[in-house]
Amino acid sequence: MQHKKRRVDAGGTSVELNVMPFIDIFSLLCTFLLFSAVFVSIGILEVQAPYLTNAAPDKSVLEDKDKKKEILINIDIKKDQVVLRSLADGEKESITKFSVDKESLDKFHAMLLALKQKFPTSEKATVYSDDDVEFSQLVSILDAVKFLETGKPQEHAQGHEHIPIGTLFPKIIIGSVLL
Amino acid sequence: MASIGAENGQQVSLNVMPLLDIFSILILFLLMSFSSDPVNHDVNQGVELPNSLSMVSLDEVPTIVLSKSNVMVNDKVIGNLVNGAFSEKEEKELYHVLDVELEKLAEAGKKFEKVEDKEKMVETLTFEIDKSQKFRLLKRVMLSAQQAEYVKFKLMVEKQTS
Repeated sequence: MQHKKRRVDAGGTSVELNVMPFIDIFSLLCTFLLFSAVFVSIGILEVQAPYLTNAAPDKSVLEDKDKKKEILINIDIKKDQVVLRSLADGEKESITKFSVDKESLDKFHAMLLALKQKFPTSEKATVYSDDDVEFSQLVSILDAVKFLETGKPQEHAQGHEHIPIGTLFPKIIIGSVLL
Repeated sequence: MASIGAENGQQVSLNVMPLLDIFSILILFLLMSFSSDPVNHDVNQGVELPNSLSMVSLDEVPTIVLSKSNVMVNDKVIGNLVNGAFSEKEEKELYHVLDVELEKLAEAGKKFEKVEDKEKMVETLTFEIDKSQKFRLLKRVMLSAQQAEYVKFKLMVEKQTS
């Protein structure tokens, strides 16, 4: 049997287009692409380990630091609690505790957002985690520290243009590595 | 049009053009998803990645895999895990093997730097970690990596679609 498309040209002879090879090629190509397709989108979260150096600090960096207002942020992650400790120059250390449910983590994120608004040039946060904390919990807290949460009303982005889009404290140091 | 003969001599035509339309659209879609990710990596079978808001795409194949059942460095199994940790008897030995493997990796990377005349290429390690793994194991592996002069770590996550 033949699978053809018939067409009659100006001279009256019929022109047939055999589409079966097209179907063969397309079905093979589809099979190959379906096998190689990745349906899970993979991303990365970048973190750092703390490192010590004996090198003398760069004077130009020190001069810049004098001009910028910086805040020291430490986050302690336990299995059932997250503790946010922040220390700004000339101020007393502020300690706030949150539980690990969604509502408390939203408040934790809101507090970090407020700190970022006050200290927009600060980019670093140090995270200390207990040994029994699961990796999924660690990732959800790192998300709250690093990224402006999607799904929030647009007023967050519109009201705070000086905060880079998408990031709160992008440099995360895993302090527990050395402990 | 395709045609076949029926029992009573009538010809029955099958229109294959819609099939071609479906195939061409499906191929377009699959080609676009095939080319969108710079790195094509299949997640290890023993690993379930946690969800994250991160929009940064994976840019290199993971070097260290912490699955539910074992720890691998560059696809080489370092040791098997029991309840998310090495067994007490083998712990010291296996961590020593891990340290040695990471140092070999760092040395190989430094040779590559010299050959390609690039500076500080070897500072970053990519981790593929199962979401149920405890921080204890991750911390110990990061410490070994840090001793091999790796400072930055990329943790693989699954991008949240909503």
